[in-house]
Amino acid sequence: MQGERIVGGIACSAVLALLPEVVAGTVGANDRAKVELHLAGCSVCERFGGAYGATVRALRASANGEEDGAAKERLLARLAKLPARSATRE
Amino acid sequence: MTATDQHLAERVAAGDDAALRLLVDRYHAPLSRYATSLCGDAAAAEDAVQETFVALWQHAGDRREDGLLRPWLFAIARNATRRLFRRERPESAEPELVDGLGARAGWGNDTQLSSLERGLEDREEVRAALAGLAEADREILALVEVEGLSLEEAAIALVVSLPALKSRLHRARLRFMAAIGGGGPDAG
Repeated sequence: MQGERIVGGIACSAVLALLPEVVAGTVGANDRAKVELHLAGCSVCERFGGAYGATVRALRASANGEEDGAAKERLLARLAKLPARSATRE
Repeated sequence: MTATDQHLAERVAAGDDAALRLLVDRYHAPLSRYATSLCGDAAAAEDAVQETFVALWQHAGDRREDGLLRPWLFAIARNATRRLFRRERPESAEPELVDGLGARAGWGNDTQLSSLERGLEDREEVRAALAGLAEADREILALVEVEGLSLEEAAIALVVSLPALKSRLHRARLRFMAAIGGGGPDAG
């Protein structure tokens, strides 16, 4: 990436690659320490990492909670017409 | 106490239609959202979801006993949606290096990140940006971010390895950031 730097012993591109694990909280202790040091000294990555986390949160909040009740009723009506299954186990 | 998916699947396999109804209550909405996100057509998505539950009724007993039901259902819905759209494979997202994607997503561009953050506050804008992505990106974001499947479940549903799933998810998130922030889905 143009303008990337090495801060805290790790390059900006390496921090970018680790962002998914940082957001998920699964990054290893060694990498986490390097990333934290990097973010403390690199405002570009700190800004981008914040936006990346905000993006994940916004996507998770974007689910439309409304259910199509009519479609569900049509599904149940179709399922009711299927042949009964005989029990296959005790 | 809420019955587990596995318990309900075993009851369906034994012919219990009340258990099937409970699984419809649990998964009709998520599967409908997922199928609609894949094809953008509510009617086709409804057909695909119907096929998914018919398959569950007919084949619940064929599933591996230790297999997870949720990714199995999403995989069936995915295949049914593709079949109804006569599409063998999802349109793939262009392969790009993460570095290039990061720049396109706004790394080092304060103006673009500000635009992204404004866009994230508007749920309709988020949905519109999602809908504009390539199908391969839409499906992974729909499964993991919107429907909340674990990475392991999503890898099963999409029939990919866990490392491949993680790589695809990261790229899909970056392309989404580019799309909503003004980096453009196809910008160089």
